[in-house]
Amino acid sequence: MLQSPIRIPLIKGNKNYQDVTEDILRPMANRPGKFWYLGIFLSGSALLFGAFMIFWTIWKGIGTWGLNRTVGWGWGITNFVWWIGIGHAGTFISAILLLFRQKWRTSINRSAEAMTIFAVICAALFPVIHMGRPLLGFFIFPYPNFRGLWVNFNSPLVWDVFAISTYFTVSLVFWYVGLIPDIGTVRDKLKAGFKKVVYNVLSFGWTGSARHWHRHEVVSLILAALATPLVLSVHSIVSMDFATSVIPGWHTTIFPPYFVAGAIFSGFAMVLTLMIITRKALHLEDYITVSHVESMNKVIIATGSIVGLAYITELFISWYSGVEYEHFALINRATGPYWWAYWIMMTANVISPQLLWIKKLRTNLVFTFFLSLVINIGMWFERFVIVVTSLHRDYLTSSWTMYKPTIVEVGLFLGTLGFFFTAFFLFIRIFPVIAIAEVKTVIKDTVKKPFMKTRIMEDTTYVSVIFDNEKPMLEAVQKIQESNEKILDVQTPFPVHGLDEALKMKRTRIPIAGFICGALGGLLGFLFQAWVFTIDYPLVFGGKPLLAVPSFIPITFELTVLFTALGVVAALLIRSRLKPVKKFKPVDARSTDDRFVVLVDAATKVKSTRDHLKAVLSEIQAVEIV
Amino acid sequence: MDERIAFTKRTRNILALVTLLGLVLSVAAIFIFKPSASRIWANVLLNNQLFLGIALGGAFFLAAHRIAWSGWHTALQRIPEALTAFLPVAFILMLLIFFGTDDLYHWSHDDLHDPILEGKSAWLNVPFFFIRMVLYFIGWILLTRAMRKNTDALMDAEDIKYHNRRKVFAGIFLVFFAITVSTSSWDWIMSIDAHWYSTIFGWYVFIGMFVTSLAFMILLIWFFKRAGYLTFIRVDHMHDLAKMLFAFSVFWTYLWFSQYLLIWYGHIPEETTYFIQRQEHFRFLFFLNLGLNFLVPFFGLMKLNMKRKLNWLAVVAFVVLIGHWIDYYQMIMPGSTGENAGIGVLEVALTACYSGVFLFVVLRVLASKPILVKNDPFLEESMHYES
Repeated sequence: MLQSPIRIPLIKGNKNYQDVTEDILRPMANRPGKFWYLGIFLSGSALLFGAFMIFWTIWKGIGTWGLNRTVGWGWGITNFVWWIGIGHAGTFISAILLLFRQKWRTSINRSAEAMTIFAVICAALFPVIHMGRPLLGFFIFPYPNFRGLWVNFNSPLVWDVFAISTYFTVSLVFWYVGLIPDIGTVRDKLKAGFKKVVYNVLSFGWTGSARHWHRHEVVSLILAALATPLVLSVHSIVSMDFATSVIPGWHTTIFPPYFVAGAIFSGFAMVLTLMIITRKALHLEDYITVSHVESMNKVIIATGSIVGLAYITELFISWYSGVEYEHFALINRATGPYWWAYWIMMTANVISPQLLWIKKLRTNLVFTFFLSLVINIGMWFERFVIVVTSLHRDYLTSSWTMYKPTIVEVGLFLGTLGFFFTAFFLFIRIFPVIAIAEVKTVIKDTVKKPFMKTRIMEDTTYVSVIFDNEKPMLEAVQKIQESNEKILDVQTPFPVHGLDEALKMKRTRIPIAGFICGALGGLLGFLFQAWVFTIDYPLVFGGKPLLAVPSFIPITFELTVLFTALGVVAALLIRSRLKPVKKFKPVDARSTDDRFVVLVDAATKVKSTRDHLKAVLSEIQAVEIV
Repeated sequence: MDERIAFTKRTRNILALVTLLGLVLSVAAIFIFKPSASRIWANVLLNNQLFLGIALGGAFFLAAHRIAWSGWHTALQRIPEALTAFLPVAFILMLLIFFGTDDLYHWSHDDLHDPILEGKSAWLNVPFFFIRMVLYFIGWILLTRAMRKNTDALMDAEDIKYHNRRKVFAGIFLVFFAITVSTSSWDWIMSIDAHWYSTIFGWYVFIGMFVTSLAFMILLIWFFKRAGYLTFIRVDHMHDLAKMLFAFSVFWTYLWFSQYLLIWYGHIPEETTYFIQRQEHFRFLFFLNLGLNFLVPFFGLMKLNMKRKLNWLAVVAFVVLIGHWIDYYQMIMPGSTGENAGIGVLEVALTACYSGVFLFVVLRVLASKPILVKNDPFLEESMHYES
């Protein structure tokens, strides 16, 4: 696609396709440095400390936490919301920015998505151990049991179970589908051995076939289109844990969109914190450039300002409402005993990101790093303020109290931090931290080095014509088809724009499969809830009718998304016959690196096909026959 | 490159006729059917909001795209830009509300004897209400004027400084707009139900504005393309506009649902009265609103090729436009007019009259300059755009 000359290249250093593969795989191939060991030692220790605190909590009970009757939710839920929020940046980057065609996302989406998955795991810990008896945690799932009981589908906490399980599953699937081609690249770079077998299995036998890429792209777009509302729904439902109650400071309609903005804000802060270090440590400065950081900083300004607007809206409306409890709750936040938490939140989340309007500051990596830490802390305090200050002074003045965390709660938080960083340290050793195939699609606009060698290779049933740039390859495909030869397949390291049309490929019907699965999921989800609450287990709840349609919408939505996502991914794997294999023999191992392989049918006459192809392709200037 | 849209005498006459006919019918309806004063003023406010929203939505569209370095929209940027030219007219029309304050806004009465409304009087009082109105409009008009002037400059001179300046204007506009779009919708719409409050309200109104504006842009482009203009606006551009219409309609539904669910769930009488009134006395419109603004764009634009069929896209855009008229109706009428509300000659005629004026202003500005901004550095990118 044509690009304006005023756009600066996204990837610096005039890379060609091979450079990209090598640069990104290098950190996996080299032995880790001493900082890596130091890092994993520190985070591993924190993780162990946290693990001990989990044990202690379960052994001794929730009494080891600082909670009391008035403040029944403290650090636990604060950490839960904080982690879920951090988990929003990955999906925002890979889904919403994909739909908005922000190509700079290609350098950071892979690691941000990994962070999403780790963060959601950290988040899930808190509600589970807060149950007190985590071994009975499966009670939260609706399953037919001997007591004839069902979970309460009217409860936002149950919505949360569905939302977070769906979010985790879809994020994981989305991440892995994106990883498959890159695992193929890793696999083809490895020499035979145990590692190779592992990556063979993980790569699902990916070949880079044109058909597979076509389906892969369609599935990625569908997953992005699903993950976009999903990412909104997850934090909206988290906000509803608070907002459906009638507690002043919690019951406010702006909560869903404001929580989503806050989540993306805090998530980007965490991505910045980690990526600024990673780019330096793994020498990826050419891929994660200052302009990538600048773009992320712009998202920080936008989301930070939205959050600021929401704070002020809440404050204003609490006065405007004329409800004294509402008003008191907000005034108490700012001037009550927890005033310091409120002002940390205001300074860190509203005032400090405004500094990024200054170009000098938003392109300054040290400043950005520092600011991202400030925002991480600020967003933690936001959740603390919402949870604790709204609870600690409730309607009855006699029950007013203060809340202080114990060492156990602090330890649990440290433990999740430890898990998050340990997982990230392992991730950068096991998988490519940058989406290789996707970066190749964005450098092609900026490739400067000409490198066009081509050769024709013989095989028993087909002749493969190999190129090292997609432009002559596309030309050749055109020529070969005109000459009445049959192209069996084209294998490329990334989806080549225009290849589908050149091969006259029919559009995949995977979207229809997705629609059917989604409709099924939504319908079944809704009918199931309706059946439970009107026929099997009628339970009047909060003065709501038995068929409480609005209450059923969140779970219906989550199931629609879950079924669609699993449906399209299953369709992709089945239709492309992708499955874990122990042994994989590629046509040309370089087709996942920097070569474009056109396979021409030669079932009957290898030699004549080869000669014919030579004649047909002789006009393409770049062709060089070995 | 220098293609211009001709604003022919015939078009002018048609628009003038629509405007006059709308006006005459409205006045006739007022004299014949004798609607209550509040119904008349509520209609004026509804149309003010609807067309103001289309104009501001256009400005937001541009500002958001420019600040994000978007290239694809460059070929069609003068269309949303022309929408913003309506703002000065909208200002005058909005000032007319001064004469209807008493009928529309319960809080403006002198003898309230209502401690809650008296508590709000620091914000809800007539002088401050109009001071704020003037301030919002001055800001919007000056900023959008600066944006248009800047585009004109870029049309005449090839200088990167004009291009860079656009991002500055876009940033200032976005900040000013983010605040004022909330406060103005509290003032003009939310305060009709003076006791009721909802923190999400401003954002809900804002997304409604943006969707309306997108639908209007699609219709305008569709119309010009049928008339043989704008050949450089490709199906791919329309596809993207369709995707935005789809996505933001879903987003609108999300905000609608968030507000509804939380109020329904919380079950606090002060809050639920708002929806009870609408759901019980305006039941048909209440659900029609969701049908037209969610179901139609959601199922109508879900498939790929549905977004690329221009005639179909125009049908969906038109339905969404009507849907958002109904949405404003839902917001404004129950609180101001209550049981006396209805959809009759007055409602239809007044909207027709406003449409005539709106299109007249927009087309005049659009026709005054070439459609393409010749020196925009993203122009080539947009002309070769493939979605």
